[in-house]
Amino acid sequence: MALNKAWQEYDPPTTPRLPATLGVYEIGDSAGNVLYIGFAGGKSRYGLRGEIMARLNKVGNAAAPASKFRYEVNMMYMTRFVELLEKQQDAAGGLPPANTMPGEYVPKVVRQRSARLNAPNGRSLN
Amino acid sequence: MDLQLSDEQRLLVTTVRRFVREQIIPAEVELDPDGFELSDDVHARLIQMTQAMGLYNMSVPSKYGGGDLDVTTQALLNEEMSQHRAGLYAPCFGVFGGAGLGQLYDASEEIKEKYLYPSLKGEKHGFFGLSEPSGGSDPARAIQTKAVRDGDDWLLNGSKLWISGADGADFGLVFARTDPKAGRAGITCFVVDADMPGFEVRRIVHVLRSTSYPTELTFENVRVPSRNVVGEVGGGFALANDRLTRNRIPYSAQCVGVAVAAQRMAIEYSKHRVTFGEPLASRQAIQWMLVENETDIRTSRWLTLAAAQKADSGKPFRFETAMAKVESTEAAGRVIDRAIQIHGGLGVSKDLPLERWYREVRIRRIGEGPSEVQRMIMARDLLSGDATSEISVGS
Repeated sequence: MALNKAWQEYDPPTTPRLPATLGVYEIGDSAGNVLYIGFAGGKSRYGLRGEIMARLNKVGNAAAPASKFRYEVNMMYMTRFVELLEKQQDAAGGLPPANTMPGEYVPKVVRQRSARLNAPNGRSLN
Repeated sequence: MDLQLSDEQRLLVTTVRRFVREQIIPAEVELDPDGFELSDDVHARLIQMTQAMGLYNMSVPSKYGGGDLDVTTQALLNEEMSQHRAGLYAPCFGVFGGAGLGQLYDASEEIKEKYLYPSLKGEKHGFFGLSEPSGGSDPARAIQTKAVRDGDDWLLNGSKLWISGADGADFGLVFARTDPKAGRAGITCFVVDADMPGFEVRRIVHVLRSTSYPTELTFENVRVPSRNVVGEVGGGFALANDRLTRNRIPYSAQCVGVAVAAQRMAIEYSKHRVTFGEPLASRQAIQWMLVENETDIRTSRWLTLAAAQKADSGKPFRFETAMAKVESTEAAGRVIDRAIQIHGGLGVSKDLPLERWYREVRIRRIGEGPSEVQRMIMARDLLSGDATSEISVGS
């Protein structure tokens, strides 16, 4: 299923109080478009708190600045990450723009799905 | 049973062991603790290495360009390949290739061309669609997905559950009921392309393991041409069952491998960790845990190799395989549990692979036929006289 959580506004005084646990998250613009999907894994220094804070500062641009986020505490963050990317592929026809930037980790299975969706006569798989 | 390794087996085991330590583990350190794949360039580089060493697709029959390894050697190598963090469900991240979906060896040349050969080259990926929401341990009765003839085609309707790898697959082997009155003889195996209208990967099912996650599939009037039938109409259960029995041997060997790795860590840590002025290894409580681990490991390995040798001998090996599966999966759980206990808090942290093995090995008592079904198989053979406790003296 998609990440059915309410968007939260980036608020410097309260955002740093996010949980430092493992999980998945989405960064969005003011209209609620998903700009980035990420996970806080076993190597995250401050879990979701650290990852979301870092991403809010990196994702977005002048046309679509990052201003919102939502997250889910989840110990099985890796398979949930794959699922969220696949759901976004199906809902929006592709990955969030910031996930397609060079150096971003996109699991092979998701890249294979992208290739299939973009092929002639490609169709949503879900 | 003779457990002397041949020179060839000894060389293969040594080579794979060194490869895991020198190539796989250093590459894995760069990944997230729950990571399940290497970067494309590292993966390609390691495949080039295994191909250059002549160790790629070792378990594939020689007529398809593989190494045609016997089951015993496959078991020995699976024990080595699983000795890293992701090793239980992604042994060596697949850089040694694989046997593909074995049922395709029995398919028509047309199907082999389209699905088998690209799979063996790593160009196409398939899933194995047997289990259903109504049950996985008794597929003959539980399969409710139906296939009905419609002209030259078949129309498939139903659902599958616990199917690994379907979201990234190009095709799958789907077992469906073609004769509702024929029991086991009423099941047929079809190749279904992932882009056939009506086929849907409904959801990922999140479970304890970090890789090879299962999915749920639905089939709604999926039109499959008759040429996509694998084997005979009504012969699907035999095809599936043969693979399930055979797969339990490498499956068991992988559990032994992870237990060996956990035991190695436990011994190392107990010698270095000092509490109350003495290393942990000096405590009887720890020593006994290490000995119990070793007993579990050697028992599992013995049973696994005994099953493998029986399979290689051409004799029925269902009983031995069931025993190896029960013992290796349950013993690996105990070994990892004790290793965690010896490591204390560190044992349950993501700094070490133990917590991942602890989660993932739990599934092994259920996957590929749960312990209870394996015991049922063994009890049936004991009571019917097909299996005996007496030592075999040959014939």
